[in-house]
Order: sequence, then C-alpha cells, then structure tokens
Amino acid sequence: MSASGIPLGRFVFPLDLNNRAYVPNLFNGCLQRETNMWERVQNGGGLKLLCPGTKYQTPPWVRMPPQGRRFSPISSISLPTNDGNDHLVTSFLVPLGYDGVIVTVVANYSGQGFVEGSGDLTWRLQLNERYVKDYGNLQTSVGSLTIPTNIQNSIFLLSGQLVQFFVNRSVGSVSLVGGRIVCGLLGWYWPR
Amino acid sequence: MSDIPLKQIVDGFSWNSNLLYTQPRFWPNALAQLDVLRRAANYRARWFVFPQDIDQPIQPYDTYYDQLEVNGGSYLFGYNFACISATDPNGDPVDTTPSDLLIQAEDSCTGIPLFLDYANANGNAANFQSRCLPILLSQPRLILDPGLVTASISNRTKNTITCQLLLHFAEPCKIIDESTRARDVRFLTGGTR
Repeated sequence: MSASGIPLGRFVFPLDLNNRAYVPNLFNGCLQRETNMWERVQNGGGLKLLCPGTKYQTPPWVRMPPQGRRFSPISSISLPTNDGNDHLVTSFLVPLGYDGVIVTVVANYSGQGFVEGSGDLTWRLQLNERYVKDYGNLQTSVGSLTIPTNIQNSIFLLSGQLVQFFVNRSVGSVSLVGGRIVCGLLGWYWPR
Repeated sequence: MSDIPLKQIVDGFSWNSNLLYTQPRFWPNALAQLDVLRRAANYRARWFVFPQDIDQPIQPYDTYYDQLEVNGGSYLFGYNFACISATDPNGDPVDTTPSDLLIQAEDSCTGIPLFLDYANANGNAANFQSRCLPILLSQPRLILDPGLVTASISNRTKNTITCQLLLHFAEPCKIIDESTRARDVRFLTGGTR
C-alpha cells in the first residue's frame, strides 16, 4: 500500500474513473490525420486561400474599398392605419456576389402627435426572416436625412439577403396626425 | 487483401430501441458517418446549451448571441432545439412553437456557419416522430483551436419566448501519461512525495 492509500501507488491505478486513459486505436489515427490536415490549411490562411475572391488591405466593412458600391435606399409611405400590422417602407436585395454593411439607419415620422418611445410607432429592420438585433423593436426615431446617424454596431449583409424596413402603428395610436413615415439605409457593398 | 470484420459498436446510439435502421432513412446513414468517431478511443460526449440559463427568454423581435469554447479537435455531431414557453406583450402565457424562432451556429475561427442563413427551428426540433434525437449532421464538423463556436437564436414574434438550443460535441480527452502525472504530483506536493 502506498502513501496515497491506493494499492500499488497512483501510477498504476487511475485516481478515479475520469482518469481512465484508453489506448488510442486505428480510428484515433484517422481523426488525427484529419485534424492535422485541417490545421495545416488553417495555419496557411484557411480555405479562403484556395477560393477565388478579392483580398482587401483593410476590412471592407470598416472602410469602403475602391471596388465597393454605395447604396442608399430611402423611401416613405403615408401614415398607415392603426391596425397593429407591419407595413413595408423600403427594401432591397443584396446583389449576388457582393457582401455589404449598413452604417447608417434613418427612421423618421414627419407628422404630429408622436411621442418618442410611446410605442405608437415601431420600426423593424429585417434580414431575410430574422430581425436585426436592437433594430427589431425600435420605438424611437433615429437620425434624419439631413443629419444621418452613424450606428455603432454595423449591420453586416450577405450576398442575396433581402433587407426590409417595416413600420408598425399600434392599434391605440390615435394621436398621430398626418405626415409620412421615412426610412433609409445607407452603406456599401463590396465584391466577395 | 481481406476484409477486417469490426465489432459491433455499443454506445447510446446502439441501445435506442425507438430507432429504425432502415436503409433509406437519413438517420442511420448519418449515424454511419459517425462510425470512425464512435470507434475512436478517448473521446467523450460534451453537450452545450444556449442560453445557458433556461429562464433567460428571447425578447420580442430580438436576436440572442452567445459563444462557447470547446477543446480544439472536438467534433460537433448533432443538435436539438426545444421551445419551452412564451408570454405575450401583456405577460400572459401564450402558445408557442419552434417555428417562432430561427437558429444559427457558426465556427468562429473559420466563419463557416452550420446553415447558410438562419434556419427555422421548427425543422430542427426532434420529436421522435418526424426527426430523431439528436438531429445528426450529415458529417461531424471538426472544430479546430481555439474551439470557439457562436450560436444565435432569433425571435420573430411579439412574444417573449424561453427556449434552448443543445449542441452535441465529441471532445478529445487529454491523455495523461505517467511522466505528466509525476510532474503534476511533484508540482502539487511541492517536490516532496
């Protein structure tokens, strides 16, 4: 009996069941070869090195590259009825082969009676079927067309995505009078 | 060169009597892709959930993000999703289904996502009828160092929903040989033994 109380010492028997070491077998070798191969690919720069595409000196979502193209779909609709449904104001499709970023969001109401944050109007920015984080339930107006607000968390767009900007007028919003809902999204695409 | 017969694998998959191993079904064919992983030694199952706190709801029209860290060399081989409960904007309980949510997972290192875009959770929740538990990937996905995986769940309704996404990993165990153990013992005992 060893000093540790384990017969023949702790080097022969495992300390507990979790310390059992199974001898690596042929299949571990297969998995290890796969891991080594992908590590070599990853250390060499990843699969992007093998794929055709454009390389940029700086991240294209931070600074628009020379090949980039700006977009600024701005649209407006008259104040919708207070039916509690989402009404589409503007939308666009990201061109195939291009990724993009939205750096500025404009969501405005030009009529009277709107109190910020009251919930009478709610703007929703949707990418395909999901709502963009922090822009899916926007109850305050953001920026203006003359003074656009640069948002801190850029919204990334992928090739082929459908971008839609909705407004929702709640059923109880009877204080809103006239005016139009204005929505705009500004940013740029770059070739993938 | 002759064929080498392999022994029957005995693990949790083998013991599930609810499964039908008929040839044209997806599940047994996906399970066949796990054959090497199931036969390898020194891999253990490790499951991760999102959100970690099951009481943390996904807010209306919001997207939940989280990241986990697994050991480099782990394999993601399956997942499952459960939609638990929901409350409407007034705070009253309301029925909910997984179709109210969208899910996505991504290898942070390579940026390669599990789905091309957010996938409807309704098709990703196993119920032992239309889909078996866990939902297996067509091939296990290798996660390299640093082993970071991000997951997102998007709520597209006005209701506040509690749900959970479960990711199944096979994690390589660290082999502790005698020299390593002796070094650790010396470290723990301050050099005396």
